[in-house]
Amino acid sequence: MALRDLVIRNRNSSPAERSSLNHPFESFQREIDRVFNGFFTDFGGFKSDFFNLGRASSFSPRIDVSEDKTGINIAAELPGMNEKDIEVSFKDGQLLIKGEKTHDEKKESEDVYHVERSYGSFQRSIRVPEEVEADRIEASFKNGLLKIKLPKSEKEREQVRKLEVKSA
Amino acid sequence: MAEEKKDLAVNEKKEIETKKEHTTPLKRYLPATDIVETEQELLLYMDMPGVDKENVTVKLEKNVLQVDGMIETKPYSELKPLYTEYNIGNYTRQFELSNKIDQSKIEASMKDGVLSLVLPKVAEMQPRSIQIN
Repeated sequence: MALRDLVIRNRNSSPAERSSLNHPFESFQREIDRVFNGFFTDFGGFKSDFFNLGRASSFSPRIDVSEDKTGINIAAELPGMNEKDIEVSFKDGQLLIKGEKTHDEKKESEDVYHVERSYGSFQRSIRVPEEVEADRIEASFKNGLLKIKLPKSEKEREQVRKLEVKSA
Repeated sequence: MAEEKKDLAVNEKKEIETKKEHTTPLKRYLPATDIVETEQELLLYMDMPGVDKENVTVKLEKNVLQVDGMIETKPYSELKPLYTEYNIGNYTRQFELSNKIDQSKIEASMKDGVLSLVLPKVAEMQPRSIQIN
């Protein structure tokens, strides 16, 4: 789906800007554009983001992998989604996260003014380096953050043991 | 499917670089924001994954709407990172509002790490039909 065709309306390529004719309706249109552009002045740099809009239509969530004594923790940032939109599976040491983020907040009558957030379906697989107990993998979702806990197997934990240092 | 393969790059979080000094050691990020316009209002959707409803502040002062989302750092203190695509930090963004927004009627709500703001337009900016006598 060409999402960007659906949502992005580039003000610069509106008929009012392209035409050099000074038709009364066109100047009226230009006036409307000017008014709308006047709604916001952003300190954070909206203008510089403007050309990245196309990229926003592809969605690949950011993932962090970390470790503590008991296991491996995987976190993914999935704002605006909930547990029903996400599928997590584990097979042969590969963790697979699948899902789709849709434009559910928006109605058809609305005019999208600026887009930075990403939408679409995604799939990410992560190779888990250590032996984990597949039956005890837990996934939770809160505040747009998916957290997966993969407990290390007994064997793996045993490998990390303290060695006695003898005085020679 | 071909379209999906084309771009698998993760969109980086935008870190804010300011000349000001800050009292918190955390990084600060610009939340990705969508702005949608309807006849009556402007709607803002801001991605702040990991932020609790209680830790969001929305302030309006001198026409500047200041949005802050604080992250809970405690769960991360014991973890040793192995592979990271993002860092954690607070979210902050400011918007300067024009007088076309009815500033007394701004509403905010937080769900699934997304802050939604409703900024109603002032009555004069809303479309209306003119009665013909």
